[in-house]
Amino acid sequence: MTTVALERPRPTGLVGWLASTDHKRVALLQLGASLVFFVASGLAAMLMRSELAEPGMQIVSRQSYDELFTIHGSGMVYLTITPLALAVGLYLIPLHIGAAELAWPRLALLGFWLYVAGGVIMFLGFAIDHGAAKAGWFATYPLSNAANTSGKGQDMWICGVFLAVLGNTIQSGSLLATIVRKRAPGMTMARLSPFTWSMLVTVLLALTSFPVLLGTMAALEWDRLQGGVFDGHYGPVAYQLLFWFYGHPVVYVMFFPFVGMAAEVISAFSGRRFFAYKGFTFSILLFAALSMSVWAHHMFATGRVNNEYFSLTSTMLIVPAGLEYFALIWTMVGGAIVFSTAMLFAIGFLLLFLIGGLTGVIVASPPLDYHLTDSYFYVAHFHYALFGGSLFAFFAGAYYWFPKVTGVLLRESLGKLHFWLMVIGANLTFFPMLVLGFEGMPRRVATYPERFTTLNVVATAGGFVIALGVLVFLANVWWSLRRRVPAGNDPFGGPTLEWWTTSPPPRLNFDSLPPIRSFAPLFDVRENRP
Amino acid sequence: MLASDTRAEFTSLFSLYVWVTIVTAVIVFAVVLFAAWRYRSRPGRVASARDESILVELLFALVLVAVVVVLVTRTFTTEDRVDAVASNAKRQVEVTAFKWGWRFTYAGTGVSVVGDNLRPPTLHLPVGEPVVFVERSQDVVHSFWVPALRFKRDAWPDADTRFELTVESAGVYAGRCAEFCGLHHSDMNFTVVAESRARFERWLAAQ
Repeated sequence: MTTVALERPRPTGLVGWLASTDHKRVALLQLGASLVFFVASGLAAMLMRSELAEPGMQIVSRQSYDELFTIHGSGMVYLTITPLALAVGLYLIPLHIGAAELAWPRLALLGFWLYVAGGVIMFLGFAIDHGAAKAGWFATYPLSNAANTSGKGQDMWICGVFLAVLGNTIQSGSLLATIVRKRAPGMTMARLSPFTWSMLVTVLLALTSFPVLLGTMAALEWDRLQGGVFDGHYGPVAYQLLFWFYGHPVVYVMFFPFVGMAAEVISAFSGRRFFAYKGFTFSILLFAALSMSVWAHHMFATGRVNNEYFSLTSTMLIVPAGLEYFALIWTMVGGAIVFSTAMLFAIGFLLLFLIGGLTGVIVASPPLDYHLTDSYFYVAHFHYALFGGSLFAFFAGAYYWFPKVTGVLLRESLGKLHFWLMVIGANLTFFPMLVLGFEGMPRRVATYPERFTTLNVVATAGGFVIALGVLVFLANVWWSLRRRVPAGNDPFGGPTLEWWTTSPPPRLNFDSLPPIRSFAPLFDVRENRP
Repeated sequence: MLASDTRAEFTSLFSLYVWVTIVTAVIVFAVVLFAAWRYRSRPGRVASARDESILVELLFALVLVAVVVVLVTRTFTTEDRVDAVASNAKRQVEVTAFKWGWRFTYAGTGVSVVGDNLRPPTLHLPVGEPVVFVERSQDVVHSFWVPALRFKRDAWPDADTRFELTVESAGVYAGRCAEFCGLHHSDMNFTVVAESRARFERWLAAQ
């Protein structure tokens, strides 16, 4: 006697998308939502750059400016880069490990909706009396208490951050369980792709640090409603320590997945196995462990933490970061490099993130940070890291995996235009900020002395070049989806399992799997290794 | 050089870091661009099959550790000097920060200068003499920053912070709040007037 499993018909149309537990659909929803928040937070930045094109106040009020930089920072950190990283993970991890589905797919879907709800609530602050939150993306206490920042916009911000981060935390759990429990036969931990390793350390960081922020946000809201949490002696310092215990690991949550994406792109377009796989894996684990112990380097100028300890741990990050660079660059050395748009963005990532990383070494030294912290030097530092680093690697990944996700190729000519606009725009915008900060321009000001005008004009012009670049990318996506150039299963000769299946992959990902004998199983197949 | 000459300490340490930064950036840019050109795909080019080189990685890790040791050592020795605060300072200024201005009180003299975002105050200081600052906020967290002295320190509502500065050359310097503190943060400025001891004493007596 045979038993036949009857499958319930899957919902189609809108419900089939919005309620799907298919990891690819959840991931695409989250990718779409984070790109919407990216554009919205980017528009806030464009308004800020427009205001800063001249000294004095021209376009927005002081209060609106405070709302804009708060929502720009919050929108990018909580609603764009972190969820974007997780979205790429949700899409690719099951494919990379040869799994049919995520572990706990309903939780991943719940995580997505919590995140969207949080983002919408945060942005709705603009629609109410007294406007959106205006205490900055880390809401320093007591600035963020009820007496100093009145208005429901701040409460909505706390609620939004809480929900979004809760959603991200839940998804991190789902991803961790997937990597640990759902690997295909033969896919040992030592054969995980570099991207999978980078996501694994990312979700470990998220699961250890995000819950602390959830508690801190709950405590901050309690303080706003009732008082009595952070308002005593040491309360303001305690708030900052708790916040940065989340806030520094999250910087690497916004970095590791993108290093992993760059690693895959560089390996594919150099036509060879990722170099120094073991060293890379070891260094990224060391990197993650160390990055849990650096949080108070955001507090060197407070005079209230042990600067030398945090300076030591932060400077030690040079070692794993250097080893990662070694692996990425030595994959190119000896390769046969194809200059696709994806590869150009990966090279852009290497060079621009380098500026972010090296300026990071400078601000990890307290006597230097005393001058540079909270200045535009610091703004330039983390924009080189997050924009020049994370977003460049995201675009590298976008050009690389778009054919897998949609079945069609993105246009290379528009892609190269996009790349050059981003390179020029990023440097025009962020390099002048290094000088401005050194010369004494603080962050989070709506106006500045006359002598800073020229460099601010350059930065504003650069901002518009970036905006143009983003428009070219969106046009490329639209155009490529309308005038379809079919990609086939494996247009680039990639190393990992997703290139074995169809583009886009079927509901359960694979009809068959090749033997998995290394972290680059498709190279094994092509090279006919036993 | 006095221990509290923060500008000189900064300049000396910063030049080390900037050299390390520039050398690293030049090497990485050169290697990446060279590799991109040398190993570009072209007819007959076959990618190397080698996939690791443990010895090179270990040697490279040692180089990185050495860089860390040099940077951290220089940072720690500099920081010990910059953070030192004399316990028996002759001159002490109490800095009170508030939304959105400053009060500077010269301890033991009864002289106090106050100003806000509309009329920023002026902080007179004697040149070449270490001054101890005791800083406190009346409301939110502010930060006392004099870019020309390459130094800032936060002002807290719940505790004092103490630091020592020496201005080495006479002049007029911009000072301002560096920690976002609300609506008029952009204009929470002050001016530092550094002058000879004699002129400073005259100014103090005239108050």
